[in-house]
Amino acid sequence: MTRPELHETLTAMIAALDPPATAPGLRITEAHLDAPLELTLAQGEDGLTAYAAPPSTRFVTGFQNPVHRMQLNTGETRVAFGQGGESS
Amino acid sequence: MTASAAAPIEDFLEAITAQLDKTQDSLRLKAVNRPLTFALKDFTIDLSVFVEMDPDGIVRLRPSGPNEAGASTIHIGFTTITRTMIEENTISMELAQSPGLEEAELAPEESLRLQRLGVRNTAQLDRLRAQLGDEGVARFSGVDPGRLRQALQVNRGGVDFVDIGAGRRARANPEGEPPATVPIRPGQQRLRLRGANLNGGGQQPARLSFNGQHLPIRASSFSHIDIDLPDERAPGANRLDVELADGRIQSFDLVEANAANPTPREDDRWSSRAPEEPEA
Repeated sequence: MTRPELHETLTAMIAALDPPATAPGLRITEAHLDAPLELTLAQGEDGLTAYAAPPSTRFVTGFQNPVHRMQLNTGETRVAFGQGGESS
Repeated sequence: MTASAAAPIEDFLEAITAQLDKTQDSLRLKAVNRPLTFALKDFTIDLSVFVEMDPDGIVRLRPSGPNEAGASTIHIGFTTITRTMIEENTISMELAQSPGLEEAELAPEESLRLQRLGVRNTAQLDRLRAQLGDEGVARFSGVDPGRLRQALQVNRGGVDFVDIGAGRRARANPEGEPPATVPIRPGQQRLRLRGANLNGGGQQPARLSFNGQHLPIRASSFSHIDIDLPDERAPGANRLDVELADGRIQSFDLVEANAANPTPREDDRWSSRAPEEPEA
């Protein structure tokens, strides 16, 4: 299976912070994620590209890429767009 | 997708920052329909890499592969910064416009030595030379002083054209020749001088004078100077002097077309000779 690009993995992680529709009273204002990541660099269509995904297994094997550690800080921010949808 | 390859540090970091930019863009698009979104504040990663140096002296990083022992750990942190912080910590746009070291005909090894001193173009080399002198730069970089002086000739710059308006321009004369004649409309207020390194890399702008009197600059950049001509002008030719950062002076004779001095002939408009000079 092709590993996704780093931005796809990070966007999915941050998007997962949205509270579920079944909990309308829950709001997450900031988050700190400390997570393992398998990262490789390879020549893609746009030059050197970083591909990353959470490790496929928790076990250390001799044939899978080593796992790196990442920390990500994200916070809620209001964007000055005129049209709005539902508020978060 | 090929296996991880060793890449120069700047390419390595650019690959990761490009991904972070795409992440920010995706989060922003989400805000089209939601007034609140998450923003990426900080991102740090501890990478297991092998550090290599190629024969050209360029440091390269390669993420470690399966079952590879002895890798180093590099801790990289990314954070969001404001435009002000970017401008304070990066090369100015003015300096970025000056010729690069390759255009100055320096050998790759000489360019690499100067890059280790933070010099990437001739404007930065000129600025460093102003602090250390030719011998000082040569001693720290290991580049021959003669080669440095030769490279700096590329950065001399100067005025190449005077924009008169309506798409017309008058060419400046080469050094050592009489001042170029620039025909202007009666009462013309504004002129634009075009060339290179007209602001001394942002450090020392050119000084202008009109008939010996200081003339303020309305706006300037690396490649242009805008001026407002004074209302009081002498009949005939008015001398405009441009003193560049390196002390050279370029002069122009501004001539108004009027009843006493009809519009110069078409070929004289672009002539490099003053009207009173004899034909060659």
